[in-house]
Amino acid sequence: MTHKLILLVIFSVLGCGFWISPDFKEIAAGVAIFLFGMMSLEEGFKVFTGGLLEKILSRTTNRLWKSLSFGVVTTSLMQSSSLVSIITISFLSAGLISLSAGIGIIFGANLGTTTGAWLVAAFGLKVNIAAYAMPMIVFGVILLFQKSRQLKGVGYILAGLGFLFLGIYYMKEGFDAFKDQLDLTAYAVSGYKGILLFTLIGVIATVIMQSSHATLVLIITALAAQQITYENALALAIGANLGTTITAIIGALGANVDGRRLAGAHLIFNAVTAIIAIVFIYQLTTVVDLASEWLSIAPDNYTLKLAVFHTIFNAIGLVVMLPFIGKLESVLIKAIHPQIRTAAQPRFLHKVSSDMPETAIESVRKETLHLYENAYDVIAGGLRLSTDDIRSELPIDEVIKRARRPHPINIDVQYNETIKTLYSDIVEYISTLRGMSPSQMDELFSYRAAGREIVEAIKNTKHLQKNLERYLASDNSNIRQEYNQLRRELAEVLRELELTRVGADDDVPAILSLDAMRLRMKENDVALTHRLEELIRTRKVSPQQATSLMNDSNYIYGATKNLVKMGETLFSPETEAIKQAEKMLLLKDEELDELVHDQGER
Amino acid sequence: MKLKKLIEKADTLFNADESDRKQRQSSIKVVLKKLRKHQTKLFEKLQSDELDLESREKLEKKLALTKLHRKNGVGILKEIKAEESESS
Repeated sequence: MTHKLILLVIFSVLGCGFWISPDFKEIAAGVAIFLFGMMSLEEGFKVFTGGLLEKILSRTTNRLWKSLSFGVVTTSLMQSSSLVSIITISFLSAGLISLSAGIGIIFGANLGTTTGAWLVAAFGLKVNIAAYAMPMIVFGVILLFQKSRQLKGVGYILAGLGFLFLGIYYMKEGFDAFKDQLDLTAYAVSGYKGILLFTLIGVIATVIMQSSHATLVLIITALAAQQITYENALALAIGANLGTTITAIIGALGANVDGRRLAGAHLIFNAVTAIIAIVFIYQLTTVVDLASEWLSIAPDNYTLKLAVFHTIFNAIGLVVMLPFIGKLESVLIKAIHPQIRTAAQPRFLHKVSSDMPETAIESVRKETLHLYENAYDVIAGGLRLSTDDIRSELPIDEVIKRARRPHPINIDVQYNETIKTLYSDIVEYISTLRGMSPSQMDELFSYRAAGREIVEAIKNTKHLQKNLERYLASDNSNIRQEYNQLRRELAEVLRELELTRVGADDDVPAILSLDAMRLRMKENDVALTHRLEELIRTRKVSPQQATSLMNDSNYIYGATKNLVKMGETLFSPETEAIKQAEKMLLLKDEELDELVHDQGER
Repeated sequence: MKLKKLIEKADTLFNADESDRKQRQSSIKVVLKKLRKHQTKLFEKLQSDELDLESREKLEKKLALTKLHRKNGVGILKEIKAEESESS
């Protein structure tokens, strides 16, 4: 309701403004076109955030200086600190980077965003950028019609830049015409009262436009047209810097605890920087004058001096805050607590990640791995085995002997408590994702299918449990031995899956290494058939026991097949293209049968 | 020569099928390279005299699997090349 009221007020104010002054209409249209350009630019960069950006992130965020540089460079390139903040929060929520790396990126982004003021002040106002804007928009829109996702991304970026330039042009023209009708400097307020008032106006303008960059361009164009005083422009820039944290805070609302902590760090950084800038504004102005003189900037070139001021006060904030990053991190960890989660609650599915296709996909992969971890406990428990023993280096025979559980777990209860709701959450999250390319949708569906395989593996274990309990307590040592053999087989599968998951043998392509398990599964099946024939022939097991054993062996076979299929989808750390290539090389059933046959003959 | 390469690159960029084929080809080459390294390692391990029978059998199975994977990979690469020559 409040949101609708605010919208109504904004519409009314703008409507009145348009009616009173056609030049105001031009300025407002310039802002609107500029914002549209920002959106288009962000859309374009999102195409390239997948894969490449993740690779760069994993390599460049292990040290503070690297995270800082990453923040500076990406924000300078993308010209949007809000986009970098949202990407960082979503990566943090998906568990792709640490909180300290996230803080480093955000701090760097604050410095990187200052390049925007330089670009606009140095080129945007001096060159006829509208002449460049038109061809950019034309080429950009043509590229938008292409099939290739990359070309579409380039199209969005080109069109976005074109609209940005066009927006700046309209704002500049609007202010130039506006000054003939109305002199806004008449409303200038000097002294600390003016600084505080214009800081507040800067915050409000940025909150409304959701872009400090747009506010800054508006300030620079107004300053160039001498519609605001230099002193008030400085205060507006401080306000814009502070207002931009709102975007990050809104973004963090749907994030996990680390995302919220990061938004807190962003707010603290910008608030501290703003306080320093306001308190020492007159000293800073002197520093700006000295720096401008050193950079050969004319004393009356206030737009470039504003850019110098913007850079200096953000750099000061960075220098002041850098030594306290560790302290800030621990304060935020203490202040913002994670919710206590049960095994069934999702750990990686956050609304914020759903805006970035690649991050959303990674979140789904990690959550499905969480589902697998829960299933691991259920399956091991169903076999009366300890998960820790299976994961240890104990020989499998020893694991079977040491089986510590006196009673089997109730698979139905465990399934309902740790699997069912989590799987439903994954399926629901996938259904909410939008803006995915066909290949990304395929990847998501493959993770959903992997979840299904996990559920099926549990069901297969459940079917086996009844007879397992019955025959493990049997007086017939032969049938007991056979059922222990079934437990051994599944325990071996669980152990090897774990080794593949943690990448114990990095030299082997993960997906292809699972073929060894499929081969063993077939060998075990053949061996059991031979042993069963012998057991029945020598009457060591009854026909009824033999039938049960055959059925239960099928359940083991089924569970193994399910788990291997799941592993093929979830375990490879490679890119989707390499995963697909590995899947193409997997052996067909006939090839495996032939291999089993060849080995049997030897 | 440079112009020809440039045209080829532009063609790959604008032709979705062609770029898809190129990506498949390069991905399979990456996997094959990994497999070749793995095969050499397995082969070296098999030369050791200290191996017991069980470990030797395991290594031999892994080697047989790796050989089959490589064979499949080479076969797919040939298919892609055939597709490429058909379309050009």
